[in-house]
Amino acid sequence: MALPRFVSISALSLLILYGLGVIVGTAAYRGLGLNKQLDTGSRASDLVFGGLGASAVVYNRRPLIRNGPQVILIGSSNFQHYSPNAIASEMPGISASNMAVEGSNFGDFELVVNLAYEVLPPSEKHTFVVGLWYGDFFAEDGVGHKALNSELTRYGLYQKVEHDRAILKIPRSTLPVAAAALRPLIIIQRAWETVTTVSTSVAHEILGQSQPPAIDLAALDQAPSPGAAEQRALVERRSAGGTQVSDDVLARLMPVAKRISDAGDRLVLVDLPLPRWHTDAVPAASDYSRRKQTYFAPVLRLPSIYHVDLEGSATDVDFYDSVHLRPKVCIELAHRLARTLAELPGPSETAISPLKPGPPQN
Amino acid sequence: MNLTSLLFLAFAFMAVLLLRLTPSGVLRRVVIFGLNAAFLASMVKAPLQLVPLVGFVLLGYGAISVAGRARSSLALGILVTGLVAIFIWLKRYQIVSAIPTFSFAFAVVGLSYILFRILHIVIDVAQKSLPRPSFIAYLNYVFFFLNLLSGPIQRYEDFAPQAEMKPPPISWETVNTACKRVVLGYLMVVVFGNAASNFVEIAKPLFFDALGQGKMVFGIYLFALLTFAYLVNLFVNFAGYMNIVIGIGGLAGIVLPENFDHPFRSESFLDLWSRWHITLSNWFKTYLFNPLLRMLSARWGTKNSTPYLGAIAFYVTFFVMALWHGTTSIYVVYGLFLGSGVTVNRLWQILIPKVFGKNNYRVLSGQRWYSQLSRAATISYLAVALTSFWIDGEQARELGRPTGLAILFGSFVLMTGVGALLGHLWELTSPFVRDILGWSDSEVVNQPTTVPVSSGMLRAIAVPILALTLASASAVALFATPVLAGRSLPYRVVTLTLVTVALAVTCVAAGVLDPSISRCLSSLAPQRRADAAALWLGVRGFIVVSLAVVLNAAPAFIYQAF
Repeated sequence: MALPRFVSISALSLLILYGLGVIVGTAAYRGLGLNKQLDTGSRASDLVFGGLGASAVVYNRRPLIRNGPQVILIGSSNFQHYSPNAIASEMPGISASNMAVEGSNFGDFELVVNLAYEVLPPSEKHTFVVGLWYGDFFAEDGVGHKALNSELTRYGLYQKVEHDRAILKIPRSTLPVAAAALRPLIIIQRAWETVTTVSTSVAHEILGQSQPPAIDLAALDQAPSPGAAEQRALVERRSAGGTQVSDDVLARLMPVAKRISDAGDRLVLVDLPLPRWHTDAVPAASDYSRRKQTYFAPVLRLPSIYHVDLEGSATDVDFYDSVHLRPKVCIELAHRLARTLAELPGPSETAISPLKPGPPQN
Repeated sequence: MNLTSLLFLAFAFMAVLLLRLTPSGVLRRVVIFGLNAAFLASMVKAPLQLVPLVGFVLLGYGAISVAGRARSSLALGILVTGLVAIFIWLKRYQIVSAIPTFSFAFAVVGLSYILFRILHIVIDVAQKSLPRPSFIAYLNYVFFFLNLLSGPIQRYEDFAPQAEMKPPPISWETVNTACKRVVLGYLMVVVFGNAASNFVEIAKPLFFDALGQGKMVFGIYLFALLTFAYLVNLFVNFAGYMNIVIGIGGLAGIVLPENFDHPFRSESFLDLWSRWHITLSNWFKTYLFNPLLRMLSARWGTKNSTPYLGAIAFYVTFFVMALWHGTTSIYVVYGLFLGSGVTVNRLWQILIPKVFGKNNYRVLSGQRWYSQLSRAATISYLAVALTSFWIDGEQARELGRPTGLAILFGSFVLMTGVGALLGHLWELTSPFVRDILGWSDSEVVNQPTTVPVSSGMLRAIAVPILALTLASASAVALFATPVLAGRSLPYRVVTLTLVTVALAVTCVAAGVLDPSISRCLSSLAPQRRADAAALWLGVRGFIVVSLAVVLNAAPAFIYQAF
């Protein structure tokens, strides 16, 4: 009798601990409001799912399962702080989410759109807003791509088959339950990533390789803009990524647009602002400006597809590095973007595109 | 099948059940054969990839059959040479790279260890010290899934009866000990292995930059850190793997030999090889060192020369052992390091007593500082020798230049000095640490519970937890400034908490607090000793299984049902 009892108690204590983890995880999740909104740029999401946003996009889609039309923001890190709250405040009756993933490119956006469609109620009409800049159209996969792939397959929920496609291995209806059951593991994963980040930093220090200090989100509003020397270094780094954007990645615009248009939803392509000193100096930025119309034109002929140009909506001092706007400027632009969206015809209605956003209302 | 994946854990769980339930005899042989076949099949994409490996094993059985009938040592020599030659060809050693092999991609998984098992049977059968095994018993031994990939190299006569007979009933104490071992193994491979490997990856380019720029002092510092980190990486991965397979073997009722015995306590390079990769050392001792020494002694042996002939035999043995580790010419350098290490060590043991006198040597060996210095020098030498494992030919050439050699030597001196100092500090503080952590050599949970709950008991648990928490928080606060500087207070607090909790949890999973916790739980409920141990095993199991899931490939099999 001793052995079966021993094994049972061991297994039971393991399961009880896991159950406690689910309860604590769920309480923390609710306490931080993560059950109400998916916003990869929020502090709460950063805390639980990590700053890249890939984990939140895969395991925190519960907020998308709700009635009513929704606005979904998709992009990379420079679109992460476009606050969905700001969008929703300008569009009564509409809820908004931000699914931007740091280090992702347009190929990954396609995957994120598919992930959103897995849970969005099909009975409603939704708006996908995709924030774009030339960096989204490089052929090389970034950290966001790797993070998304790793998150999709980490716990076996998905089988990755193609660049833009991952097959869900469980029934869609069980996805929220599975995500809830995985919460203890997600928290352990977060703790592990923190330990890795800290220990890597310590390792660099030990090895005599000092790194620039990380800056908190709130402090980014006060952080100085890059000086001339830093600008040169940043331009050099950006130029090293290639002088041309990829035709293959640009060509992916059409299937994404068709997917959304065919579903009767609305797609708004937004050209995001960049500092002038950046666009003037980096060859790939000019290449993107020159070639994008070739790819945008056929896409914009599809029903419910629009183009909003936010380039020039910010000045150089609004940026704290070569790509990212200060968080407060992102919120301002999110308000402006929302007002523009509100003026657009609804999904499946015809409209004239492209559009320019309205004037700033500070 | 990755041994740290949940898929392997599920496979091992099934194997344990089958091996525990299957009766002695034919059915048991068939079950082991099936488990081995399934494990081997999981390593390849198509059965064709296994053809050369299986062919080699079949040839091995042919060699055993011939060896059983052979009457001359020449025949045995031809058989062994033939098998080694085919092994070298299949492993694509650099020296035979011009000789073509199969036109398809083939797997040589576990071939290095398979060779040892086959040679052991061939030689022992030829020398009539082992009867020829049946074909299925041979296959089960050679391909046994628990020691296929990286050993341990078990002797056939130890393995065969266990594979044949149903094991005796298992007790909860055995399950507890075996499961703890598996848990520790997973922790070593998944957590510590990952950390050490990350450090090596960061440090390597920095070191070669420093070497290229001729920064001698910084280079010495970096090389010392790098080589030690690699040694730790190798140890935690290899010893962790051993803990996993030996633990699973214990659950299944198949006792596998130990491969490590506190190697960091080795007091000489010769002592190290009785503590590190023990089964490999024993194999080489039995099948190369002893015959070689016998042969040398027969030809040149005198009372005075025999110790020196031993030193030569050591050199040859360790040189060959090093060559077995890899297929490129850089392993020749490793061979020279190992050969020189053992030979100098042996000559030291022979000559120093002669020079200073036996008594003086005994007194010297008994000195604490000498002991610490010997330990540090042994480990530092191994760390430097292992450089061959993580550099390529180009980097080896860079290291071979005067600056590189100076850095190599400087790092050895630095590591030895720092190691001796740290060893001495540990010796001074370890009684206190052992006392407050309640560590002892015996398994506390298996002892009768006589210790009452007391303030001392609570202190024994609270003090290490508090100390650990403060130490880790301080460490992060002091060193991780780039990560935390500029961050908001809540962010810093959360990060510090996560890091501290993670470190504390890792220590719990590693069993640091096991004796104290077990004693406390047992004393709270003296009649429930087994229950308390089971509860605590569940806690450690939860931590390690969660970490294994988070850090490894997806357990896709869980979802296959859908």
